[in-house]
Amino acid sequence: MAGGLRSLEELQQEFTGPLHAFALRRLGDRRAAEEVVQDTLVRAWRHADRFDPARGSEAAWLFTIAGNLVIDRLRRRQARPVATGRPPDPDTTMPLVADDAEVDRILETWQLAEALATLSEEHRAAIVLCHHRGHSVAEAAGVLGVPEGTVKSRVYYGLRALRLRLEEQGVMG
Amino acid sequence: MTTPDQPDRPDFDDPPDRPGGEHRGLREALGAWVLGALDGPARREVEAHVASCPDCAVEVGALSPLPGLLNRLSAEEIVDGRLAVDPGLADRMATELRAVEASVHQRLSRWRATAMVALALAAVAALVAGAGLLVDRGATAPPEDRLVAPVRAQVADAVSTRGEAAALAWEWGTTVELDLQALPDRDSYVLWAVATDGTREQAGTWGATTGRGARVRGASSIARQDLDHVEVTDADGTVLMTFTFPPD
Ligand SMILES: [Zn+2]
Repeated sequence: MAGGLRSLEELQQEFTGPLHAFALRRLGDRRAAEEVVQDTLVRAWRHADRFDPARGSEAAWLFTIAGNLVIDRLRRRQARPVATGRPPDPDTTMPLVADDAEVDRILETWQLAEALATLSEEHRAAIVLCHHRGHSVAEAAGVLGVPEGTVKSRVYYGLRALRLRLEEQGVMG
Repeated sequence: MTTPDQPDRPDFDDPPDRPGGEHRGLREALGAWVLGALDGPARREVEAHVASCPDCAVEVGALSPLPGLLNRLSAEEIVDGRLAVDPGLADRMATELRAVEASVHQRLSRWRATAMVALALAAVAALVAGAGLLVDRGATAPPEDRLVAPVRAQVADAVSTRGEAAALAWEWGTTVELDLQALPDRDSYVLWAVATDGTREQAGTWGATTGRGARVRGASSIARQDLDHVEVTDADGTVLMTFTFPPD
C-alpha cells in the first residue's frame, strides 16, 4: 500500500516536528496544528501510491497536503460560504508549497526553532531584546536588571551555542 | 535544556598584550556587535579590535549569518519556544497513527478474504446453477451508500457481458463490487479504479471462473468523490469494459 513512500512511523518520526511548526505558524492553535499533522501523515500514507518522486520530494508532497489542510481550516474559520460549490478536496487542490527550495526553507526554520529551544531562557531573552526588540545592550540591561557585561556575555554565548546546534543539524557549515 | 554560560573561555584567554580580562570583554561583545546592539563608543572599540585581531575576525564571520536567520522567527516564537515540539506530541502521534495503520491493514486483509470467498462462491454457484450468481447485498453496506454503474463493453467479445459495478465510499477510500456474467474469455482480469485526475489504482484481480461470471470486491484509496470510473482489463492491460458512476 505504501508505494514509494516510507512507513507511517518513519514519516511521523521525521516530519511531526516540521509539520507541526508549519501548521502552528499558520493556524496559531496547537490542537488544530496537531490534527493537521495527523491528517497529513494519514492522508499521505493512504494515498502513498499517488506519490511520484519524479514530481517532487517526499517532504514537498507532505507540506503540500499539510498546506491544503491548513487552507481548508482557515476557510472554514472564516464562517463565510465559499463562492462556488463545496471546498475543493485537500488532495486535489493546487499545491500551496511550490517547490523543494521552499520546503528546504520551512525545514530550516523549524531546525532554527529547535536549536533556539535548546538555549537557556536567559540566553534567548538577551538575544530577542537586542535583536528583535532593537534594544541596545544598555537598554536590555535595564529591562533585565543585570549589568551590561552580563547582557553581552549572554548574547555572545547564546549565539555561539545557537551556531553550534545549527552546525550539528547541518543547517550551517 | 540549558547552556553553560561560558563553555569555551580557554579558547580566547587574554593574550599577553591584552591583560586583565580586556580581550575577553571585547570577545564577548562580538555577539552584541553583530546584532547591532552596541552604542557608539563601545561599537567603535570593537570595530577597531576586530580589524586588528584575526581570531575575532573569524569569530565575527561565524556569527554574522545568525541575525538574518533569527529574522525568520518572531520574538514570541523564540521566547516561548512554541515551535519546538514537545515530546508528548510525538508519543501521542505515534500511538494514534499505529492504530490507524493497524485498522487499515485489518480492513485490507478482510477485503482480500471477502474477495476470495466471493470468488469461490461464484465458482461453486456457477458449477451448481450453470449461470447466475448469489448476490447478498444486505451483508455489505447500506443501500444509500452505493453508487451503481452498468457495464459498458470496450471490446467486441465483451458486448454480451451483463452486470454492474457498485462503489462504496469509506473514510479511507472506496470499495468497488463487481457482479458480472458472461465475461469475455481471458486467463485473468484486473479491476482498476481511475480518478478524475487520471490516477489509476489496481483495485483487485481475479482469474477465470468456469461459468464466466465473477463477483469480486476490490479496494482503492481513491476517495469516491474523486473516482471517475472503474474498468476491467486483461493481464496485458487491454480495457475490456468500463463502469462510469453518476456524480457523487
Ligand atoms: Zn580578539
